[in-house]
Amino acid sequence: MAHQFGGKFSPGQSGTASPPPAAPVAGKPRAGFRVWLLFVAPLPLLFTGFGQITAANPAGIIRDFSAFGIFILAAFLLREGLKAEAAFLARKSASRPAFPRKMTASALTGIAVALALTGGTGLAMVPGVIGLLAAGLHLFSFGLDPLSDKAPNSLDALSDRRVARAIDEAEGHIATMTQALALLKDRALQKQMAEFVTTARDMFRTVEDDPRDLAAARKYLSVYLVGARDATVKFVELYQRSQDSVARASYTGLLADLQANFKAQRQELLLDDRSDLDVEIDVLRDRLRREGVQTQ
Amino acid sequence: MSLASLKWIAFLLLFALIVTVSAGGIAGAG
Repeated sequence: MAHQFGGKFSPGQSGTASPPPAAPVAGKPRAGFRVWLLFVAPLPLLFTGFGQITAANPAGIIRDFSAFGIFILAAFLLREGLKAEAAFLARKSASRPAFPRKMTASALTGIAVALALTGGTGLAMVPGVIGLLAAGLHLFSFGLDPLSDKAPNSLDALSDRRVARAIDEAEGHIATMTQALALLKDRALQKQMAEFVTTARDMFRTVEDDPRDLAAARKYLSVYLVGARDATVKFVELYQRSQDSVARASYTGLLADLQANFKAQRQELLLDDRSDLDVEIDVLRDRLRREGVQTQ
Repeated sequence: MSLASLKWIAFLLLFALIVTVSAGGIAGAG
């Protein structure tokens, strides 16, 4: 998601305020420029394809345009694959992508290169070899898709899955809220929403770290977020029509309250972990003492 | 040389290859 620009001297900013920490965008791919280049690289095929039309060469027309299509499809798959991989890396527990998009993109690139080279007067095997070379370069450059599920604390795969599902739903509510609010093009509100989203995601990571927290956090992940989502949608509808400043004030109040609540609940979850640890340490100490080991 | 720069080199080779192939610049093709 693009952020609207707002600097120190922009309207609506207090002069001394430090810039707010940017909300981490979940799963932002990093190779955007390279993917863009891969969309651009096969463009000459369009020109040669039209050249084939003027040369009245049907086989050439089909070859050039289909090779171009496969190149574009490969670049598109690569972009989706990189997005999926970034989302996979951002999560502490995640299932592998259902469809290996990046590797398919490598294979398609090889096929397109070979196809674009066929029909030449050279050796028959040359297109195949160069196609393989292209697929290899693509694979090396962009890597494999995540091939196995990621679950660091998978004492209990079932509860990990339940956590992942709850967080997926919560992320969906967040996405709806951000999209609805973006319609208003109100920078202050978007900034406040971004801060709330950061707080909420902190809580998601805490729950992922310790799936036992899910029971305590469930209310926050579903009930409160659903309420916030509905309130946001209604507020946006109302504010678009009436620019009602009272509604705006109560909405920002609601967001602030929610954020404070999420923060407090997260602290509580972390405290729970602490008390678990304290219990374990006490038990171990007792045991050592009974066995005659001096403890401090 | 780091793996990241090797990957960039591989990408540049791939890019050059695709552009060349697309433009019909490899001898004997088209």
